[in-house]
Amino acid sequence: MSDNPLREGLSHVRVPEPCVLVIFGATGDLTHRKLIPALYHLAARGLMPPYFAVVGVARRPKTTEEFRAEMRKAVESEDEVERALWDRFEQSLFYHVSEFTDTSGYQKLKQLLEKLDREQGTAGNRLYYLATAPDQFEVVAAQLQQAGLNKGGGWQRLVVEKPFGVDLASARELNKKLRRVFAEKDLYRIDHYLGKETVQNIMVFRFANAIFEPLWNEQHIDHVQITVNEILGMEGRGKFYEQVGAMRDMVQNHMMQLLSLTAMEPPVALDPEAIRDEKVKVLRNIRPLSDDDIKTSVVRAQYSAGSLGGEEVPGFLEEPNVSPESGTETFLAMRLRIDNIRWAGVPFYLRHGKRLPRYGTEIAIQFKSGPQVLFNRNQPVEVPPNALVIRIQPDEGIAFRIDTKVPGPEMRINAVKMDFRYGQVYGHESPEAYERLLLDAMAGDPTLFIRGDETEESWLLFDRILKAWEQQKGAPLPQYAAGERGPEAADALMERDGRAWRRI
Amino acid sequence: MAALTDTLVLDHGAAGNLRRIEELLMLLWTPAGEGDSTSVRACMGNLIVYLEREDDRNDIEYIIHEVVRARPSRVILMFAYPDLPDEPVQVSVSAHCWLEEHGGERVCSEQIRIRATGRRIQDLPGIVVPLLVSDVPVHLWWRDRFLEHQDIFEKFIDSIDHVIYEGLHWKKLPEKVARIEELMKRLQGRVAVTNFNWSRLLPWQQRIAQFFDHGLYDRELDNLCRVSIEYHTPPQQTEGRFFQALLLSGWLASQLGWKLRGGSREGNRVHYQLHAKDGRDIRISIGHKEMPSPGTKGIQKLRFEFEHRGASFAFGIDRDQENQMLFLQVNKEGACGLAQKVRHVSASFATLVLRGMENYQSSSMVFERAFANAAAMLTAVS
Repeated sequence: MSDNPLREGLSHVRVPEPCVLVIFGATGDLTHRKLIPALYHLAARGLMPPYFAVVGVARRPKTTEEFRAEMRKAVESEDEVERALWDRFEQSLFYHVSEFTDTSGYQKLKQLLEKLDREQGTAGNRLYYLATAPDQFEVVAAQLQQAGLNKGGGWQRLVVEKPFGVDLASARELNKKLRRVFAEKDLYRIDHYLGKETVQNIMVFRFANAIFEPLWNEQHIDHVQITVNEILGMEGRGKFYEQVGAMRDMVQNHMMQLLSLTAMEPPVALDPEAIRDEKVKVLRNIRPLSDDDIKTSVVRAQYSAGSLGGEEVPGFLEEPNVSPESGTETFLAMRLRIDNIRWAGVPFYLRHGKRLPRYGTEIAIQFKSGPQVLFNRNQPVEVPPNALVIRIQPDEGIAFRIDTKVPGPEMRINAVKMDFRYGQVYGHESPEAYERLLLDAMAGDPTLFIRGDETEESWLLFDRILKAWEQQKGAPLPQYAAGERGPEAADALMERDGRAWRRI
Repeated sequence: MAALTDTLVLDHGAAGNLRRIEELLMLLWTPAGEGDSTSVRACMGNLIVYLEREDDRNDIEYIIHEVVRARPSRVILMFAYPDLPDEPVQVSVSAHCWLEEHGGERVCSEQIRIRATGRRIQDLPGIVVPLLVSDVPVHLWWRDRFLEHQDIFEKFIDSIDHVIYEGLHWKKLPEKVARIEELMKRLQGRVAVTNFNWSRLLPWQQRIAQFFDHGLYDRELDNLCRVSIEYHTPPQQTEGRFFQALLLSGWLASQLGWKLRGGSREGNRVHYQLHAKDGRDIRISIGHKEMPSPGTKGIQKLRFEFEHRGASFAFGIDRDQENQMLFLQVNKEGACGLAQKVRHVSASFATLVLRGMENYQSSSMVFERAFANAAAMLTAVS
């Protein structure tokens, strides 16, 4: 595309090559709420390929016309639909009914795709999207292989939604099975956090602003806090959540991505492999947790009944579809260390919980205090350390805490906040993460997707914790009341280090 | 926060006048009293606007509000009335405010209005330049007849990064184009120049460029042999709309390395012969239809024809009748007819200003080259 001389001076929004997007799990929530609305918005903006088709695959019998009508309703429930645009867009939507295990269903799918290639000009390019339950990932991949749908004249890629395994062994096994069908370069493991503008902005902020990079190391940074707080409880997902818990749902994937982007070295180039190489190096350099470390540096807990937003809410064990004896954590705090020259001695604190008093995701870089002697010569003056906070949600933006003199005859120092918010400056909402990620997957840009070795390195770390927890199975977890800041043990973890969690 | 300050009459000497304007700005950010909610001041740049028409006041307020919501800026409106008797210059200060999405904080951008009459319009640069916010870009939007008061404009040159002007209502096109071309040469590398006629072409340029992005048609650029452009124009914009079509042609020629060989007129059409680097002959044909205003205006239809070893095909972009969509189609034997519909809302003035503010750095070089080619094409048929 860079050879196109007409592109000079125009925005380089990539329009992918013609292709068919095949969504497995087309009747599911993800397809209705995220995928089809994202595709419609991309088409309306002229960013979809010139020739494209979407084939929804699911078990439930329905016609293409019924599927189109359902998808229209799904888009309408989120946004206004322009009739002329929709009428053209829906001509590209097709439905194929099949059990995921039915070999003949894949043969029929193959025939349909070949027909679309002829009629819609999609050139044999396929993007398969697994919007199914995780236990179907391997099944669908194997069937695609058996039907010969993983090869052909064009390109074939597979998009996989998290979770990528439930532990190291299952992640390795899943990777192994997927790689038998698709080359690693054609596997797109999706983490929608990476589609968020602020997450993408971490690299720009770090490497485009020359003033920060020289400070981004153990000489100047005291510690880093990464927080993902949620107000919500189970919201009907109790059965699913009990299987995964806070670690698998959030910490092992989304939060480790935030950590990698915060701690990585500058990539040699802004190409997908160079960036992902640097992220993997961070994960490899995280010091493995010993059994003692797990006891002292990892805190897990469950929320109990409490009051939140003026309402009484049940505890985790009273939630529908959750076992009253469940040992699943809804809160996890931990301290990690990265053993490399940049981060030697700088702890990274991660904290995530449900039913906390305030919703928010942020990365806080806590700088070391400057020399105090200048201001403490005659009487003690507190000089708060600087802090840089990258807010992922809500109010995406960046805040910097600096010290200023309080006006008056005496020397009093006060911390004030310089606050940049995307919403205030750019005045419009960021595009939906799925729009960006779908566009990238169709265009063959894996930068914002997770590579197989990233998932395995991350699991390597968390597997030790899971094994340690396994030995404590049956013991009740510490509780924190819904609407409170989390368990006391999390505060104690910080206090032992002479630090405190930020109030977000 | 005060919505609008009292009007200030500038009769206190240079330093006193500026100090008083700064005080008005400070007053704007002082809470009126208990219960007056605080606001966030946002500023990504400066936008200076030069206006001469009294009836423009309401329109401009609306446009500026839309602009600063998307790109918060300190706005300085210069109302210049050269035909009125000399009066002291008047200044007032106000703010455009809005609530952040999802009920966030109130965000405001400052606006300074300056009214000057008669010879006092010469004082405008001396008042405006000290009020610019430093370290952020300075855009000057010359809302009215550009280069009519060139002496005033020249005084801004050292203080601005970008000037935007309208080109739709131009008369005496060859003379106007020659003056702008001279100015652009002089400002090259110092001040970016763009115009609305150029900004209106952006969606068309995007669609054309996209067509050649992907693997199917990226090689067809070498087989492009004919381009046809159709546009509609109201009677009072005939020359401006023609120049817009020339800008599009000039852009294709400069980006694709075509050299102009000659031009001719034939009724409502003009034809150009160009020569590609590989020796290929290319023909650009521009036709128009006069439409009563209001009606559909501007580019309506583009057609690109390709030939290679005796085989030919065409790619077309048409505006739909409702004027809200673009319809893209390929006519190629043995290939699937590409038929995409994409949103195409006629750009408001606010959109055009924003496009200029957002893209001036990247697009000004391309614009300058396109303009030079368009000027040559104009000369070829004048």
